[in-house]
Amino acid sequence: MEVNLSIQNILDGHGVGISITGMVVVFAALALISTFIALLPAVLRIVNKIFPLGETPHALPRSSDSLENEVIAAIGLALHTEMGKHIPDK
Amino acid sequence: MEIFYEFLNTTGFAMMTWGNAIMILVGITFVSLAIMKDYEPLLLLPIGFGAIVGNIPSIQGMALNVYDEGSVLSYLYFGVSKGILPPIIFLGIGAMTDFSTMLSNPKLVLLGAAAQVGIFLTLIGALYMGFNPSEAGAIGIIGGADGPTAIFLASKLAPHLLGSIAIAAYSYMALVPVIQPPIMKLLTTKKERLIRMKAPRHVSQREKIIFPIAAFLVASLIAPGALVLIGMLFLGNLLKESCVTERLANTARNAMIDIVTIFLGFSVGASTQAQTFLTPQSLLIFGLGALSFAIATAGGILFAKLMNLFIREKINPLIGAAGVSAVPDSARVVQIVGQKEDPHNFLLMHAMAPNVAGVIGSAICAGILWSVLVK
Repeated sequence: MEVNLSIQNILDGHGVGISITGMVVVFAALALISTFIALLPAVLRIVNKIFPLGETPHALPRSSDSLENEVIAAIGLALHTEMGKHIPDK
Repeated sequence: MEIFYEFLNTTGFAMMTWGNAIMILVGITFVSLAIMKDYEPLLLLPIGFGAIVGNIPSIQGMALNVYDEGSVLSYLYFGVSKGILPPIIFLGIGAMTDFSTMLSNPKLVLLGAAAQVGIFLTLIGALYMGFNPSEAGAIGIIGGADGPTAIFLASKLAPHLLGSIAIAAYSYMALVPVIQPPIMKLLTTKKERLIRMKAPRHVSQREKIIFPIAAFLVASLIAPGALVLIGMLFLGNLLKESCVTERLANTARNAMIDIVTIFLGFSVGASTQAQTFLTPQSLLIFGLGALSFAIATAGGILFAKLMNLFIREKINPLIGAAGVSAVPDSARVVQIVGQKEDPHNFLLMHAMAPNVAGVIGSAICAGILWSVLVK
């Protein structure tokens, strides 16, 4: 290959057209995915009413909410125990 | 004695060229960077060792190197040259990826699209330098900062440039912590780097299960050329999120991806023989690759700044730099640069959203380029 710097190469290879098409298509695809993701919770609220979450054949992973509650409960207990040491008995 | 002299003439020492010696040194440098600097060791180490192996001169008539028909190395290289191994890597990546942060903040997906500008501007640059359109497309994809995608597209559009493109893509991925921070600082103000973002919301399991199927349909119907890469990525993710195929997901993200990474890295390295690799063309590809990475990083950051003009909850423009896929290195770089300004600002989880969107974006770009440029 010979290095041949020329704007004509870009025009001959339809570089600008390919680039504009490419960027438009990739934006369109990801914008569609983004819109779908944004609408999904609302759609799922309706779906969940029609098909409520039932038992699954395999255990789903524990949600971070339940884990957070356990951590909060553990911190609460530790604080209660620790603070209790410093409060004089009635 | 004559047999002994004949044997001496067939040794690697006798047939070694300066080019081979330089490439062996390059291989040793890669191995050293992987071990001492921890730069993408999972890739640079097999690639580096492969480069050493590939540059041991082989004897005429003996099928030894990757380009010799019937050699063992040629069979290993088959998976690369035919684009078989990259989709399997995508399967593993899918089984590792958690799309939660992206699902919790969908507007960040657009940053993954903006960063793809590096691919197309580099394509224009490569055309300007005299590469033909197929070669320019294969070179441009380096800007996607995604090794498997770069190998996949190069194997389809410009197989003769595969070695250079693969080495450039993986080298720059390893150099993400060096290339990106100066651009990130140059294009953002201190005030912007200090922006804190709202914690992501909880994402339900149903959303995580529906997403890979829906996103696959959208992406592959728009760009069917991306079907193989995107399909494997989302299959891997569905294996993970469905919670009913944990064994398969485990295999895909552990044993399978490791095995494929070894073969891919080693055979790509072995394909960098001095005679085919040390050419002015390769130097141009390396230059364009660096430019491509820089443009992609800038594209993501500038688009994040543009988005901030229109949205109420501002986003930290640093996370735009993570749109260049390179999972998870570029997200890690965002975290490091952000924490230099504010040690209590945790951007990693936010940066993962454009990061994984960038993987989808670069695969779609590969599909578009393949569809448009295939002969």
